[in-house]
Amino acid sequence: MSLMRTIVSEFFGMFVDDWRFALALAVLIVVVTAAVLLGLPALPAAALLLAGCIGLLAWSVIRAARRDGR
Amino acid sequence: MKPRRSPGRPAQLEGQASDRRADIIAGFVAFKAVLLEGVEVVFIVIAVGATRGLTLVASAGALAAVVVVGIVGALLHKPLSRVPENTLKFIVGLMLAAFGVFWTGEGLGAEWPGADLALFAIFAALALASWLILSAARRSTGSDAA
Repeated sequence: MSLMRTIVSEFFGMFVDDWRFALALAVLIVVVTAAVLLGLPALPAAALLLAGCIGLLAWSVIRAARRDGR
Repeated sequence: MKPRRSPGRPAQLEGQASDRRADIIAGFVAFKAVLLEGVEVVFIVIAVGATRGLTLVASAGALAAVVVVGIVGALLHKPLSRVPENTLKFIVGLMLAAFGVFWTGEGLGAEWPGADLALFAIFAALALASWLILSAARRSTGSDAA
């Protein structure tokens, strides 16, 4: 059973390293998509997506730096 | 084969490099990484080809790319092995993020200024932002990261 757990964990780990970061990115994409569906023009939405990705990257790096600094 | 000695490489790692088990583990790690990229290729082929009935053409293109990458890898693996691993991962991560933002934007219906050339601008924006974020993080922790 622990072998199966290890295999599933390894398989999942291939796609997701930091689950909080991955989840935040998924939420960002959902929010931007909803904004487009509600009428936001696509190009500003794409720019918002880029800015959001950079913001989330900064958040993730700061979190990691604080964790490693402890 | 005796491993080449690298300056600054810990003696423990030097010992492990000649361990057969290290070869098997390296093989599994490489298998995992390439399998993941292979899954991405399948998704790209489906996204590019299936909606327009061009799956065969897209698959042929992907196969050709595999052959080219294999040849380039065989020719460049020695000089590439001198590039620090973290630097390689950083650049590849930036490229993947740029492609991801570009394609998600196109999926939302955005027409990026300059069409495909916008990829370079997105890459540059992510690279600049990443460099600034890392510089700030290094200053705040006083660490010497990648």
